[in-house]
Amino acid sequence: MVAVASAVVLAFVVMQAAQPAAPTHVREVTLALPHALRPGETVWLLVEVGAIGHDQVRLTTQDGRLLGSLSAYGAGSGQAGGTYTVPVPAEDLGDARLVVRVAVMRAGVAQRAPTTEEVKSLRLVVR
Amino acid sequence: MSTAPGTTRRTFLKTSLATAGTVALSRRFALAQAPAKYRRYNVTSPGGQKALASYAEAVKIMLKLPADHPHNWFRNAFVHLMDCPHGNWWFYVWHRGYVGLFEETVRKLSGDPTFAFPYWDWSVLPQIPDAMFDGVLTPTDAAFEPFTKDIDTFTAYIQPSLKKYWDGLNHDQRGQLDNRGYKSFELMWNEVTGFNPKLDPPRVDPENMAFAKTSGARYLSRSNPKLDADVTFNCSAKVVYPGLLPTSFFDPITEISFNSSKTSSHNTPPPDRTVFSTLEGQPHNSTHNYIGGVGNIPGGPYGNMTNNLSPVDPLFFLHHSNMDRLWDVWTRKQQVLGLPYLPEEADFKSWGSEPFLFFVNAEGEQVGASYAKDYISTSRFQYDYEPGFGEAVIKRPKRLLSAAQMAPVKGVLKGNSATMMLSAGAIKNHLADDADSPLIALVTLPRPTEASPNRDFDVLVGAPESVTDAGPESPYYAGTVAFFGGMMHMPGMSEDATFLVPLPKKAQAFKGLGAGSGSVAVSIRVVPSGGGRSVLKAATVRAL
Repeated sequence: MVAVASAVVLAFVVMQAAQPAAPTHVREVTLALPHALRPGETVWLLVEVGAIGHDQVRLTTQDGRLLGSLSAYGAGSGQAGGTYTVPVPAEDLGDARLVVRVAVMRAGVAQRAPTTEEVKSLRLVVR
Repeated sequence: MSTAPGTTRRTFLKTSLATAGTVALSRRFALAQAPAKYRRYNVTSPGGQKALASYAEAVKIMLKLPADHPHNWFRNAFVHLMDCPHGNWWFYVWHRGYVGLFEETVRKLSGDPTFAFPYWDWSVLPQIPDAMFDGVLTPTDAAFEPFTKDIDTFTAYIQPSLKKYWDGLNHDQRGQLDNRGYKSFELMWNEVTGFNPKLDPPRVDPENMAFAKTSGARYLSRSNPKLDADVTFNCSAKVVYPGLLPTSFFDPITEISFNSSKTSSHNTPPPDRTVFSTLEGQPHNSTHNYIGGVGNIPGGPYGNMTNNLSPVDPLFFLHHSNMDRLWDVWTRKQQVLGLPYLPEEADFKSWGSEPFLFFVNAEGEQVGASYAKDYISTSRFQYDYEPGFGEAVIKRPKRLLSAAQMAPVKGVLKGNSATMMLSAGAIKNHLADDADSPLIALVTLPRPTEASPNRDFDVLVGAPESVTDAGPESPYYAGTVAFFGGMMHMPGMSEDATFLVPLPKKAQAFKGLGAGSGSVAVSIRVVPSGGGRSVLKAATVRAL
């Protein structure tokens, strides 16, 4: 049974690569919504980030559209990390799924996939 | 504004704001607002440009004040370094107090009785306003050179008077600094220099150096003033507009709130993890960082805006005026929608009574203890905003929320079935086609084990005991919750999982509704899809 009549929060995370052609410098994560979006609903991507210092976490869709760029402000918060709430445009959701590509950016260094300590989890929330 | 005879301006404000705070707890009444005496203009407008000229005059004066003067330009920045909250629900209100009091100082020192900070609306203008590269409005100006030429110059200039100030702090102030991790002056000063005694060997980490030398005080320049594509995106309608949509000041359940995490004090991190609100986590953070050079300067050190001495850059106050403006937009949106714009009653006391102990007023005096509730309203500083981006989020709903709003109701569990008494009014509102407060159930069930054949579970509401399986066609079916991926439990992962599911929109699920009683008994079960016994461990129903 696939249908879920939820209009609120249901977050399902599939933490394995779902597409065969994900580049090695990103981590690709497939997230599923419980249902197709209804009018007036907004989808949020909750990204739990570890201690990334002044690195940045960049989030794009599978076809390269930017979802957000995350960075910690101040030394203290950079050491602690946190969860960022990133709105997801409805047009980026296909078939009630979102494929997110996650990369770590740092000046002077090539973009790379995050470790599990740098990006700990991703979840979708619908409100 | 007139005050009663014998009433000082201060006591009048305290009284009026206390009243406002009480009224503010209601969902239906607007926060009492005194007519604005000052207007914060968009920096690109004529009013904004006029304000910048006055601002520059005040900065020149503050740069020349002795290092031990409370209005010294750098001393003011240390208030931020020592006390600013980030990643918690005092972020907006603390910065309103900090910027508002400093605005009064600038008004006095500049001699411009109309002064109010202009705001930088980066959603519309994703580049540093050109005038902010003029003279002392950039920290790279030669006027900063005698103080910030290098770290040794800065240390010799500011450290002795700052140490004297530190030694004179009272017990409560030191307690807050302890909470922040500044158990000694030296530990606080390490944030200025970037020295990290925990590194092996202990050394300076240039990325965390809050000090910035004059020549490197701002990464962006007049010839390169633009935010990059990523930061521009974070400041765009695609992020800012959704960032204004949350309907809760703080919502611990869904984590989608206008404010960041609830913490025990504005200097204390949350016990588990910080959840950044969209507006703080993205446009606020990334704009600060990019202006300082994050993403472009390998290894640091960065310009002022990146770390906690960011108020050394005059742009700080335009950036935070815009953040404050967005809080004002969100507040007015909530008022129009009849929604709360402060913490819920149970939280308001602890949030509102949080003391801010480091602010300085326009007379150069320590404000002493002032509290978060003192800065709820822009009336405290008598300003409003020239309209800017985001106003479109304020629109009147078809109807205000009704009395059908209800507090969460926890179910009594018996045999893995929960029963709770729900208000008939709330149910009727829920069943309406255009329900503005639909009811949702939070259902908790155990995670399936590796060996379990069941991954999907159906939530049944009001179903007779004989019904052990129901699909979307059933009036009792609320939805299916599912566990995706491997069932292996990760370290620290709870054995149970909680899901939120809307209650069915079918009257049959609420069979006692027609009896005329004010409340209706409603049962909830969670059964494996395909049929079976309920596995429910807890259930609560609340209105969205």
